[in-house]
Amino acid sequence: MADQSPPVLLEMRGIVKSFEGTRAVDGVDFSCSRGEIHSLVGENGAGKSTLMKVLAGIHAPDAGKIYLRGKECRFGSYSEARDARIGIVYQELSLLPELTVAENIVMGAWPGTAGGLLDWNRARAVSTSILKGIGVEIDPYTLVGSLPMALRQMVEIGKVLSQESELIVFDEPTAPLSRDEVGILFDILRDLKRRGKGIIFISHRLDEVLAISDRITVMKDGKLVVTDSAASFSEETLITAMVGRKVSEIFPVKSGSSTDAQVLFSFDGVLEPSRTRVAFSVRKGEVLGFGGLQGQGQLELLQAIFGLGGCESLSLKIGGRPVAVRNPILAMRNGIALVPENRNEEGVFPILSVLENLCASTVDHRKRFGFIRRAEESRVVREMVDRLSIRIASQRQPARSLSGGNMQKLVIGKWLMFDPRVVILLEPTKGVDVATKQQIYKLIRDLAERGVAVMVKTSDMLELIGVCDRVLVMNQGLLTGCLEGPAITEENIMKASVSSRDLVGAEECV
Amino acid sequence: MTERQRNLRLFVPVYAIFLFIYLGACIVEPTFFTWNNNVNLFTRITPLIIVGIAQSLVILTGGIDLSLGASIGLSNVIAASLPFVDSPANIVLWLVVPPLVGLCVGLVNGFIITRGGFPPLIVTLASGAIWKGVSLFILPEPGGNISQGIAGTVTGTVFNFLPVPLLIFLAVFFLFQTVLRRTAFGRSVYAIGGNETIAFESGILVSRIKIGVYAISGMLGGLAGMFLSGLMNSGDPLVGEPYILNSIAVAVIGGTSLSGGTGGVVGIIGGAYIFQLLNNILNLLAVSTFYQYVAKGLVLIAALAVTSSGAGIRLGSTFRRPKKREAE
Repeated sequence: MADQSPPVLLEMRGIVKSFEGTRAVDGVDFSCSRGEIHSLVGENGAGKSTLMKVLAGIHAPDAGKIYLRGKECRFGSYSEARDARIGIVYQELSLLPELTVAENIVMGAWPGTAGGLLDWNRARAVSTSILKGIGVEIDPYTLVGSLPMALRQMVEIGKVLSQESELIVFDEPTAPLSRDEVGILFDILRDLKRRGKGIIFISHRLDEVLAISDRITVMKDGKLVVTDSAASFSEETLITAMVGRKVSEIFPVKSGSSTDAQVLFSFDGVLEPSRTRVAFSVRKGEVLGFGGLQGQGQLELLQAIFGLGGCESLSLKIGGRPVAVRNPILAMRNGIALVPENRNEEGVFPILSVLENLCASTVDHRKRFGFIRRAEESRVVREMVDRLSIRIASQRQPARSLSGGNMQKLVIGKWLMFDPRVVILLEPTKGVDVATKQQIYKLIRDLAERGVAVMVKTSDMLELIGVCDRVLVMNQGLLTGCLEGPAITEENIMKASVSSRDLVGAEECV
Repeated sequence: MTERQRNLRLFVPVYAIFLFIYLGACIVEPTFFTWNNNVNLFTRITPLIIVGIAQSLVILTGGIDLSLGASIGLSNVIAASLPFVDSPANIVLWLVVPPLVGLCVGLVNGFIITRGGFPPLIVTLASGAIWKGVSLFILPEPGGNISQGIAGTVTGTVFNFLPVPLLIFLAVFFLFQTVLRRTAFGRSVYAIGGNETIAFESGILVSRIKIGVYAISGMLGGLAGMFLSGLMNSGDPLVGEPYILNSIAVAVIGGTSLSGGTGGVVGIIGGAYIFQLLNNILNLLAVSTFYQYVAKGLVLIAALAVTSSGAGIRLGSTFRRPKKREAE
């Protein structure tokens, strides 16, 4: 039982790991006890993931030792680490969408019968009871691909639990979750803690880190900055430790545009899934935010603007002139840009170079006699790289070699290439470090000031409050909140996101 | 969507099309519905089903086996070069050697692909060329001999009623249906095709499973080659050539996605029938060869459009987010 075994479950001492000369992890000590939630924070590229990969046996450390339950160990692969009861809930979910929930949970540890056949009854029973243990009821024969993100996350946790892990690493588990889903996840974490498991929690959302952790370790540039009990940190001191900058510097000053400013963009249409009418407009110099719980129609609405369908009797006006947007190509011709949420799937071409990525949607703009003018191309790319301060070694570098933050800037840069008049950003800072966030916020503000209509959909409450001049809240396809200036508070947003008052019907929001 | 619903979506269209073509043929051409014609169909379809299953397994892992034709040819000429006097020892030899030859071809493919990390397309193309050369060296012209007893059994019946080819393909079909659905090996095949990295990190021995899949593919090629030798009473080094692409076509019509991870062998019999029925009908109707090719191509594309629509959703979703999932 938990109280009989040594309290310190894991101890890593002086871990060093280099890749091609750069020290990703440089002499880091890290430990985790039973019944403890130890958070690991730091900017992207600070070495958190590398440290965890060393723990999981995916990378072999160049130096340093790992002690598990007081004994030194060395893992050659994730299977070995798993056998030592280390489990990892990955940032990018490690589930196979084409397989069922039960299959995903028992994968690699298939329950067999004497005849060598799989025992489906046991697989079903095992997965049902594990999921029940974390308060989820799903038919184990459901295909994972047909589940919403939050439930997939639960299945992922179930998969790790089924391996009877004692030390569980949660590598940014909250990134794809909405706020109430995070609450459910935290209940599970606390329950695991009570059961004496050691938990390592990695997240970019600092409020969450502070709320759930017992201890926090901050890393920066591969080195350990500080390890201390969570109570001794505040969000401000955490950020300062992570980036060496103060919070007040993160969000740019708002424009304070007035209600009678010129209308740049207006939307009026009926959302298809919910059959509700939504109308709104974006004023000059304004950043318009979209909030509310996840999946309340925000995505459909914003995608409709980019010609991806999902909206009937749609009428869009840019600068007072109506435009018809039936597909993304027409949308782009009308100066509409959409920066997608899922940059790995929809945003970048990972094996293409930085240059090719940035130019992908505007190749036609730089042609002479049907040939691409390469000098011109290289010049505009240089300008964009400078403007967004994307950190690259060369324009010819493949996009997949960039860090998450730089990749996100690349996606944004691609859309800024054709000087859009309307820019829609979906979760622009998802999985991005604080320093990059700051740059992206500044960029958003710059765009608004240059007279671009900017719309931002984000599930990060701080972002809505810190960046947007006006916030529209949606619930079940209805516009239930329109908050402006000092009225944009967490409380008001939450209130509006559960309200069922239709502001469009009541003609209170234009 | 549950697994059962997905499986229904996978094989219902295939068998619906198969029934449609089959019944259509019976109406248009009454001789089609004779027992003799059906036995003839069983015989022709057996190697197609066997290699279709082989190819499906490989494609499910995200690979492809272009050396299937060569493993059929090689095992075929070796079967025809074995001693052909009827004796128990010779019969055992004939039963064991060709599949073993195929197994070796597959093992070599699997080792090169997993150890070297090379693309399966090129590795199997290359090894296919090598083994085709070896087959031509062993038996430059179609010929050789199969013992009368074996040849009689392959085309014969059991209990004077059940045609042997029917039994063979049903046995192989049910065996692999079970392997895919009920064994850890089978589920690992899907996992690897879904995402190799995730499969590896979930503790699946990816290389071992992949080598196994190519070995099985080769072995099934050997089985098909052996069957063909008994059927034709001789060997032909190039007998396997048409099966290279036909096996891929049958696998895809049978519902297996070329990108791996989805599908299975449930639809294989339907897929093979659709493929073979076209030949059969067009011949019975005495359609000229030119039109036969055109008609076959068109019907194949139509069948593909219906049966592999599940694979198409994948492509579409790269641009349009799968909204319906959130609604569910």
